[in-house]
Amino acid sequence: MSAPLPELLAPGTEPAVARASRARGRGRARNLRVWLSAGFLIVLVCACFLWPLVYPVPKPTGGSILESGLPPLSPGHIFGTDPVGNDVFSRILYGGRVSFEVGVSVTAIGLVIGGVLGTAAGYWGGAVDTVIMRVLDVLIAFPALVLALAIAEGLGPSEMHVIWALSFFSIPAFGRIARSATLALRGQTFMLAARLSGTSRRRIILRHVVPNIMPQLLTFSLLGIGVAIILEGALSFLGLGIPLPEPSWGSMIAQGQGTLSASPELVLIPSAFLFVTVVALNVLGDALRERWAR
Amino acid sequence: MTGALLDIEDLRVTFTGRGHGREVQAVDGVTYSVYAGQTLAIVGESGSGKTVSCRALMGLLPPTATITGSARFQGIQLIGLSDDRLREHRGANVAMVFQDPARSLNPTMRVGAQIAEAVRAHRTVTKAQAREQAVDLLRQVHIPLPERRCSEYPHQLSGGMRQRVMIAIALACRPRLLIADEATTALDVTTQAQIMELLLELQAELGMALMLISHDLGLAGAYADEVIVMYAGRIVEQAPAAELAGHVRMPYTQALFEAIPRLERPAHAPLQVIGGRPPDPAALPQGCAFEPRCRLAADDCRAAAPPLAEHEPGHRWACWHPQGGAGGMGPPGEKGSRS
Amino acid sequence: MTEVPLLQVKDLVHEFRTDLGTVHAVSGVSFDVRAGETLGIVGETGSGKSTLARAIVQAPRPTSGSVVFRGADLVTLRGARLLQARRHLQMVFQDPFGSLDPKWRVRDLVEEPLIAYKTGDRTTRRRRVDEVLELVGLAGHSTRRPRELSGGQAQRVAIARAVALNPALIICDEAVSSLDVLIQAQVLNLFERLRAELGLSYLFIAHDLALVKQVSDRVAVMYLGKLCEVGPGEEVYRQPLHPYTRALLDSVPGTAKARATKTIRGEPPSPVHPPSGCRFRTRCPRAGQRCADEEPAMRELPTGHTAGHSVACHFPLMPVADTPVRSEEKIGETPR
Repeated sequence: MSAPLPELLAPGTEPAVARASRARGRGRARNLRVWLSAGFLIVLVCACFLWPLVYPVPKPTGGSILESGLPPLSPGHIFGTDPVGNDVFSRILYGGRVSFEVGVSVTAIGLVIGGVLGTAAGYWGGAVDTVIMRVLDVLIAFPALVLALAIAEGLGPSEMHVIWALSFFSIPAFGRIARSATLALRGQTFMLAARLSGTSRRRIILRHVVPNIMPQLLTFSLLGIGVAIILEGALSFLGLGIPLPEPSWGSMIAQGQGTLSASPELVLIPSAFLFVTVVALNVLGDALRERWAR
Repeated sequence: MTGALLDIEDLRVTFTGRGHGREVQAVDGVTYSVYAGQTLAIVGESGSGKTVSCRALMGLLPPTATITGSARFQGIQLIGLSDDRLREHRGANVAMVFQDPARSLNPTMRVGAQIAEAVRAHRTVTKAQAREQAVDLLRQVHIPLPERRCSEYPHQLSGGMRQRVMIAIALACRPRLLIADEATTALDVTTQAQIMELLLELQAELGMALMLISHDLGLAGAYADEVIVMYAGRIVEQAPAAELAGHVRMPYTQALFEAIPRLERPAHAPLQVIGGRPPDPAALPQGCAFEPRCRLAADDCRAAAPPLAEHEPGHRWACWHPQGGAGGMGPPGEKGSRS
Repeated sequence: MTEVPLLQVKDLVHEFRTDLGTVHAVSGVSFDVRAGETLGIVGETGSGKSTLARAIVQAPRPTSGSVVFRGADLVTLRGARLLQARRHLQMVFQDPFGSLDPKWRVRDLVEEPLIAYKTGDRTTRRRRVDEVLELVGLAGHSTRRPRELSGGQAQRVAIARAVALNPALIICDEAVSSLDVLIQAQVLNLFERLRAELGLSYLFIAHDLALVKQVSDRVAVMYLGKLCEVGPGEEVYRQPLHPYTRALLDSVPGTAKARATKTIRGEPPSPVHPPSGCRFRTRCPRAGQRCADEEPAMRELPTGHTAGHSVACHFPLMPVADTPVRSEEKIGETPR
């Protein structure tokens, strides 16, 4: 299908058809990025959650001291073992579960709560906008680390608490994105046209606003998962997150510090997984943003 | 060809993209000349190649564009010129005024500074001298209180004023040729008339040649000496404005005339339209590009593209079956007369 | 024949506050649109014509004045009653793509008003959508999205949507100004055809005079929030009474090239600080002291041809019998 020639009076330096043609070429490269990164993430998530169910894997905790300190590619322990005797590969898988659980939960909470609040603020404006934005400002004013520390001290560290603490960040972040996207939309003529067609406010929000701001929110979500995973890693590294001996990529890095010169792989392997996961999320997020911004 | 300020010969512009084989032929062999002091209008719809061909002269096309052919400005070949030489040439010899002054002016820079920048780009003068010249230029384009205007920002000026500033910038180094690319399209009709008059006045004063690029055939007919009509990257008709008004040969030009609402016509009279759309520039036909929409088309039109030739003195067209000598807007001199 | 006009706008005022001050976009505009006629409103940038269009449909509600459409004053109505009253009033906008939700398909866009006004069940609605798309020449495009359409096609979708409920009046706000000239002609012809086939009335707003005259029965000229002149199209163009109308006509390329600067000068003033008295006086070659002191009222002047030609000017270009008017003549000029 050849790109239609717009008859709009918009002289540019390059004919629209040429731009469209070039865009299609870029599109194929973009598709590759989408598939590669999405594919990688799907494989990783499936591995973390499903592998131990279908294929026996040594437990991530309670390892035997007899097997401590094995190097990678030892029989039965493909990534070796840590000083306490736990299988590193298994800990990577279970730690990955934590990362994804936290990353997705925090983002989902932000998307739903922040998204709804932000859209309402942007659409109704006025007093509603002011109130919601002040509430979000309060949330964002909490320093996350102090909050996490307080929660960990007061209630004891756990995965749930990490999710709560990080949500203090993600809700206002999504709120702002949703609000500015909605505001940008409000000025569009088709919104006025929808009102003049008689469409109710509720239907306008559901059928016009949401579908149009969704791409931005979803893209932000993917990038947000990456951020949340890193933050969880940092919190666990500081001992404020997932309590030992439960594995988390962050706490594995922290533990591995002690034996850095002797067994650097204990730090490098979880770092590598953390890095590659976040990069894949970013690549996917960018590629989807480009595609949806057409 | 002697005497011509600008000689374009068989200019072709192709856009190629990475990652796929399609070539887009934006300009498909254009040949014409511009003389000193002349006003030439190039008329066409979007996609006709009129803007691309002029930006090719100025070296303003993206790197994906391949330009072939010849464009000689006072003997100097512009195609293939190095960036440095092109920059010298731009502004000093040929200057351009664009459509949307709101976007062509830097919103964060004061107006005077932008004009002074243009002056200093081509001449070695002190800052103070450049500033003086900026004020002079504003006066030349009839902006009242030019000293005060110099320290204002573009958003503080109206559309017409901004366009005058653009013209002042273009004139900063006394170009021999000024290209106005849809320069009045975004303006109100009263402002458009004022700007057009300004351009003609400056042209007379400075002895410049003026090229008007527009989709508005009425504007071209009223203000230009010579009119070129472009379609699908080619020139389809060229004639002095007066001649064109009375004797249109190309059915496409005729269609353009008929589609424009005109004051003389009675209300509710249906406009003669032709259906279809211009051809895809990535897949230009072998024959005449206008053939699918032409009411006078015949088999030979599909077979080969008609060449542009001077069939009557001063009047060139590219058509196998041109229509008769009438049509257009009616004989000159009757335009706008009311009983 | 005293037939109640379809639309009666009276003393419509719309002002809004910005950082620069209060913008007096529309300052007391009154006119009627009769059933079956097309009233054209000509105005340049800053004239307030787009604000006028939006004020008529109550989006947003005007500061004051009345808009009586089919007997009901829209300004006084709220909620469901406004919705019902507005059913037969639709609008087509300037940017064909801007007025269509890019995520929706053509058939959903056209069906939207039918759903909002609950006209029949899904089958009836779908049938009507197909009918209307056929009417505008877009049969077969119902599953496309706006980005797959050309400018002319997109505008036709907007027109189909406007026509779906069988409205009485359609406001066209620069509806063809963004289109290429050949496509513009096609869409104009479509407007005329729909007018004949469906008995529509139009309020046609544009800045291009020839365009407005082409489609209109009567023409109103607007400047800086006020109407200068209203009358039958042919009349206004052949015998303009207001100096601004004259200036507009003189500015059309090809008419009187060199006269433009004699019939109008300077820049349009800001709508935040409009001139006192007659708003056009700062650019009018005929302005006198009275123009600064007193705002001219819209008066109907006997022209000897047809009635219904009014002008708001202290020194109109009054035609005397059939002799053409010389615009250099100034009546009663006193130094300002």
